[in-house]
Amino acid sequence: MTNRDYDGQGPLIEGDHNLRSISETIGDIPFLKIKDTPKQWFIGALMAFGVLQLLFLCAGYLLFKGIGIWGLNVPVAWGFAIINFVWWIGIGHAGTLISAILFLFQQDWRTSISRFAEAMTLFAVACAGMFPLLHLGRPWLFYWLFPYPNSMGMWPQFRSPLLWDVFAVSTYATVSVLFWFTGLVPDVATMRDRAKNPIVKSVYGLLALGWRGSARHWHRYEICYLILAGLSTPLVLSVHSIVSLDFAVSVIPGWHTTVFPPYFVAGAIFAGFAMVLTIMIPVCRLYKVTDFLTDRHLNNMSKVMLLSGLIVAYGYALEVFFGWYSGNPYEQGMILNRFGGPYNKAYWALILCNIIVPQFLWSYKVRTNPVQVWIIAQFISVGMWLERFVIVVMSLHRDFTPASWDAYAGTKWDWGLYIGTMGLFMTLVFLFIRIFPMIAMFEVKEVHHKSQHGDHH
Amino acid sequence: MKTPKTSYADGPDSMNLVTMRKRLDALDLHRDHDLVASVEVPTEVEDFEVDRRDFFKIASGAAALAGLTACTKQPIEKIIPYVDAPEDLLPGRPLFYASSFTKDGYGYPVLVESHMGRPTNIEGNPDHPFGNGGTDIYTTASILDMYNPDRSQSVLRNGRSGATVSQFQATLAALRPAWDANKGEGVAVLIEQQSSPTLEKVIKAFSAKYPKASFYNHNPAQSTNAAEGLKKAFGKAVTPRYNLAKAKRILDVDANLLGHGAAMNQHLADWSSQRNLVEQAVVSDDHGAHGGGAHGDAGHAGDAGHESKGTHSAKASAGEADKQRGSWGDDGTHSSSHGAPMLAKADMNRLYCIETNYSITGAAAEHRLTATPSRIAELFKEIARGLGVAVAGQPLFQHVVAGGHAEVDLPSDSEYAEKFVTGVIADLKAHAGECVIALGERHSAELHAMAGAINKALGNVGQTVDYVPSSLIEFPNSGGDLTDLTKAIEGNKVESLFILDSNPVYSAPADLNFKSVLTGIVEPSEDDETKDDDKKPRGDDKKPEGEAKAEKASEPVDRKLALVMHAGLFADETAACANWHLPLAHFLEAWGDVRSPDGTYSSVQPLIQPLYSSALSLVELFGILADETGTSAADLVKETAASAGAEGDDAWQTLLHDGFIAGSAAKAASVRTPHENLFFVKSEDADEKDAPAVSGDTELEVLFEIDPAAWDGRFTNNAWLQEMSNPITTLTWDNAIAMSPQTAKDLGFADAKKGYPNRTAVEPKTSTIVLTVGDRTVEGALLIQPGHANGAITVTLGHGRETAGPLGSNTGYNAYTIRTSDNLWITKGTAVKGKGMHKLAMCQDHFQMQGRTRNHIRTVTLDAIKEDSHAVQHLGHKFPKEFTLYPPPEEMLTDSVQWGMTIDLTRCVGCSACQLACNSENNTSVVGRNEVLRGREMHWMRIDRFYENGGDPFRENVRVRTQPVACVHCENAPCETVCPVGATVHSNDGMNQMVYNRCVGTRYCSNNCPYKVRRFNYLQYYDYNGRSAQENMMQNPNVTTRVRGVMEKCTYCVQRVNAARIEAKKEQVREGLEELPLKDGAVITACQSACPTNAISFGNISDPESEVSKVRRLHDLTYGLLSEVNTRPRTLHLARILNWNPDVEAAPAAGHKSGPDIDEHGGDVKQGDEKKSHSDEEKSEVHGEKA
Repeated sequence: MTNRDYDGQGPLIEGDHNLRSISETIGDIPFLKIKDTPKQWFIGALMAFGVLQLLFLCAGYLLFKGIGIWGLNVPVAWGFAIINFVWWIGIGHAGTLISAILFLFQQDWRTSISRFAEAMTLFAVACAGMFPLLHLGRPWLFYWLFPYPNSMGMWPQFRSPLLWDVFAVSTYATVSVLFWFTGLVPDVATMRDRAKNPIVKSVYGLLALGWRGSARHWHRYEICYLILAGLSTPLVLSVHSIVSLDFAVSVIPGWHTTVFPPYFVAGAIFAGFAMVLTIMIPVCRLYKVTDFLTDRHLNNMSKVMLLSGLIVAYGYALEVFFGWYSGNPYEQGMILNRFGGPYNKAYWALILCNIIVPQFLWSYKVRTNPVQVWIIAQFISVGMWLERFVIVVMSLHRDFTPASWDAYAGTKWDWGLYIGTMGLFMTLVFLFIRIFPMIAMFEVKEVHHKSQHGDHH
Repeated sequence: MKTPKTSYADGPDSMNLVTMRKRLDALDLHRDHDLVASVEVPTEVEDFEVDRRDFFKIASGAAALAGLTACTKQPIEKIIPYVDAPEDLLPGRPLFYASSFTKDGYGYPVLVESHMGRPTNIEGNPDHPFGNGGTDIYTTASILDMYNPDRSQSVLRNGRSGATVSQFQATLAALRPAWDANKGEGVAVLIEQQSSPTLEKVIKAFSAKYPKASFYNHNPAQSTNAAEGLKKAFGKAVTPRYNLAKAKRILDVDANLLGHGAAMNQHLADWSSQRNLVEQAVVSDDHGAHGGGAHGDAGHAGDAGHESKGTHSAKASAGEADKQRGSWGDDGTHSSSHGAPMLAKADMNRLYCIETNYSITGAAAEHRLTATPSRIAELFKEIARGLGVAVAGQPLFQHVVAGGHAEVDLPSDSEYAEKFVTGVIADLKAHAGECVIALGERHSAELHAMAGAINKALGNVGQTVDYVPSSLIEFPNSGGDLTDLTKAIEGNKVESLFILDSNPVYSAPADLNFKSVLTGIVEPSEDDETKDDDKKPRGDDKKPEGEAKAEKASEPVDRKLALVMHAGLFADETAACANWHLPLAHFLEAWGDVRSPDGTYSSVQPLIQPLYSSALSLVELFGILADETGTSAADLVKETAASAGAEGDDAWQTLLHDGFIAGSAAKAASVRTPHENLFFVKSEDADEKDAPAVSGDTELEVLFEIDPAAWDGRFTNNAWLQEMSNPITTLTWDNAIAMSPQTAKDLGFADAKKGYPNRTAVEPKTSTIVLTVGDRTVEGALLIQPGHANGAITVTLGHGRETAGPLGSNTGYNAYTIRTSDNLWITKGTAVKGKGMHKLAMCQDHFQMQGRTRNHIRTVTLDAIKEDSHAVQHLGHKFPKEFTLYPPPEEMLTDSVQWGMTIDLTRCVGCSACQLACNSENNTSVVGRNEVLRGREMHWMRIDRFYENGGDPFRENVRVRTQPVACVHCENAPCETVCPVGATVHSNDGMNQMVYNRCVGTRYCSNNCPYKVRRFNYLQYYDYNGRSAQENMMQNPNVTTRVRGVMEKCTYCVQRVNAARIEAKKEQVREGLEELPLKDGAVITACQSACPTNAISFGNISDPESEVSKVRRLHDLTYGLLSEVNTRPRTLHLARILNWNPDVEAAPAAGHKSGPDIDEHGGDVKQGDEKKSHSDEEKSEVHGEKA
């Protein structure tokens, strides 16, 4: 029985699926025997784990020696660490957006991707969260940023955006974990029921919190999920807004601008969707669950990317416009430095990656071609990193007095730590694939049900 | 004055954890444990049975033994209380002693801060007649030389330590019968120029004993040209002494009056005293305020002082001033009550400078002309002709006479030269009797004679220029200079050579081959020393010995030279070639005396016992040489002082207290007018010698300069000086070969494609140059120096040393290797591109202001500000107005002390003395070349330098603007709001404070600081564990040293503020006062104290009578750097006012009254940026209407 296109926007599930086959296709992945596990998983997981070691090495040496091993200097006192922090935090946003906002808007197409995206959120936040700690001059005193009662009688300084960051990111991480875990409960229960190994069964059983699938459970689950979705929704907007305030609150030309909060949020969604696509397209191919990642998903996600990309482009345009319109020579100098300064290649590459390349997404054919979408997603990921480079480094390296201007470049330790966090991210992704159903089975079943019976019950 | 060493070394200071750990490490407990484990346990383990009782025995034994680690045997140290405590010595309170630092034989008056018997900081002696209480960089940094762990610590015999002074005396004793017999023939002493009267006395005593012992002089940093020339002109040996305090016009021809030479600090002080617009303006200000302002006019304010200042109370005038303070920032809202221009009748001196390489003087000059050395000679002759000194030769600028320059194809720079010379001639003529013509010592004696003649002809002598007899010692039986010594050695006339405080092996002219002259004769085989050596042969020493012998074998002559003794602060290159090396005492460790450059008798007193027991002063050393060690150095000095005028104990105590004998300065000699025909006699051939020999197009004039940091090489191992941002170039840890952008382009250096490159790489690389002079070459890094003369190259002496110590060795190149004794200062050479690239660690990478000069370093002409008192404020007009709801700081918290600073750019020359003083006072870390390359220098006080080239990067005549920038202690500090842990906060008294302990190192404050004056400890720069004891002793105990990961910055010397506050509070309680009796001047910051031109004022800005408040009220002059960011800086800068001569350089762009403003985007002076100027004018007009 083919799945109907019940809402006239293209099918959400392809192939001939029933409830059982859905459970089998998705839910059996964690139960795959070693010989059945795709070789690519081993290769990928091993590589990711190898790269993870780079993180340990770079972070270890950093703690031993001090952040002088990085390429920082006095005008450019923030570099890779902050770029990467913002980049990773941004990537996380897609997950929350997909699971919370699209849930509230009852966008059914989110079902196939929400679990994965949420997991990515967590992993990205884990990667992001490391940087603010490591970038401290004295990281062992990081807890001084928390308002805890202490013998010094000291409180953190509440006017600092870095402190807002602490609250924003920690709240975001907490809510994201809760939200992800809550959404996982029904599926974990399914896994518990399907698991054969008693130990595995009991672990899943523990995580399933005694889920029996009763109507009352479902009722409470739905209310709880709705509340969490409601809680998460403002967080999508707040976290990156607050991260952007790290810059916007300062006086540095290129940072001191009111457009940052919306522009950062759009950028985060932009980057987040690109990352979801970057990971999901190959993984779905690998595990042959492409039935649940249909043209419609690609199409919709591409559209979101295109839209958020346009907002970002508008942000860039505004920066340039206000640079000129302000009449402020420092702002003008900053814009001219972006256009023609020593790092102008980064700026023009950013324009290419974030504005020009995504315009291909206007074409339906491109939007539904996984390979092309994946390539565009790569451009966007790079472009969003460059955007943070442009904002952080290019604003700092030439600010007010030319006497203090200097150049900046990441050292091998900067790159090592950055690549290392990718190792951490990928390691977590590969573990996630092996442990939890990467697609929300019960939600897909619901969609399947709708597609069989229409959306009118 | 001498303090027992026990007072600090055994005090609580030395009982810190670091030393404890060091001691534990030294005991090497770990190794012992390993030994126990590896040897004993395996044998015991075989039948290891224990019962319960044994177990407890062992356990308790183990516990007891574990406790033993806590009872590690500590070195026995005695804490002995003073039996008779030195007067005024209170723990925690520093004492200050007057003394003198000696360089090149001259003494520089200092006050040395001593904490419990250890000197920590050197500042100028404000009471001393020489200088102005300021210091120079060498004086400040000299304290580091004393504590330098690389200092020579023991007597070396053939390069090996373990010898003693008495062994050296024994060696001398063996030679003495021969000396006695032939009256010291064959004894040679090589010594620098000296002025110490006591030293003169002991030298005379030595010479009396051995009259045939000859003295040779070696002064690599000195030139004898001036002395020779003046002798020719005036018939007697005199040196010029310029009184710039009286000079209205100064022509500095390559003399670098403000940046070089013994009398530099006096020049700076005097020059700046004639640029003190603050004093001149304050009078008008008070007056204008009194006049009610509304009807004030220029003429009215002009006759300041018709009403005595006393008639209006301090409060009233302050109140008026506060009303006017609308312009404390640069919003340009000047109150109409302002009245007449403050500077309506202001007057100041005018400095002209002609030079080859950019110097501090050139940067400070109103008008500067760039010329090669030979061209300078021509220009100087032209000026001499113009000023009525008959000089042979044709006028340079015939076209001027001809009434146009159509027939001569002149580049624009030449056109400028022409105007410059004619303008200078006219100006000097108009100021005859109140001008100074100073010529650089490197120029020929003939020109110096001419300079003397000009000064005489203009009637300057006796007014602004004195010719005084030299205060240097005339050595008895002088053999001449190093060249003569070399000849003497080669002629077998020297048997024993004593090299005192000199390093000729490094600094000798290359053609003398001084090293091989010396090393040909090491290890005299018949001496018993060699036998000693043979008894204890060492593997390491075999080879050099063999080499030395091989060299000796290659020497054709069998030299008589049997003994070479070297004495110095460091075991340097010369020490390595000597049989004996004796460590010299630092001036802080020895008794002595010296004459300051003006001839004033000044005392040198020890503040600490010599750190190394064998260290001797030169006076003591001569006692040993003459075998007369009976009288102590202190007694000798006392005797000398008595004969110099300080007779009796009281006078002696006064001398030690004051540091000098008043009125002992050298008296001016009367000089005749030089013969009219002196310069006619000079034939054209002689002129030819000065003119450049026109040959191949690559032949360049090569100029030798003393390195601003390393001097002649004696400070190469001084980390503070090495890391000092070099005046003009901002280069650190290196020297470079400087040439103009045009010359570099002509020579094909890619670096010069765009003129002066903005350094955009992280560690920018420059080409290297192979410079060939005669048959000698040297390779160094290229430095493109805007404002350098085309067709000339400047190399600096003092770098490229081989054995200067871990810091100073192998920095830069050694220019002595191409310096020959016949051309010590100016020569010719060719330059080609070298092979590799070199990284130059410069503190600044961008030397152009990107169109921001107008606002940042505001410069206006004196005429402009007289015409329009708002000229300075107009320069900030392109920025948005500052707005704040809060009153200005001086009004905000008048009930408490409010600290503030002003920096007067009219008087600042960018000499870096403030930077060094800050380093010394605040224990700032030296980070090393690599970290400077990465842009992590830790200077709290930086000195920005910008070139203005009028849009043409290849222009020869460019301007330099300098500006010291430290934390400005913003009222509305961007750093404070962004620190998440509150580590940088505002104090009640208005200081932006940095709490090191609270800092976690987010560096957000640094990012958000528009001035970028915050410095971050990216690595553990302050090495707690690896620091030597000496370095620890040097630290200012009142300033916390900073760990890695912590931000730091200028604190306004908060430790000094607090010290003064504590004193004031004590007085307050004692006297029962209501207000804190903190007087103006009670706190002097380190930079302020060091500043030789008094450009920095610091004090309580809520006190309307304080110096700093008076300066702040000069709204016509003050501006807050970057106050358009609404930071409301506490440190205000005073605009740079130039006494511009419109005949020399065109007045700034038409309609733009604000002054010279040539910046990168602004185009040439003439073209200006018309649009900008117009809009400025419009604005000022609008503003005028409002007013």
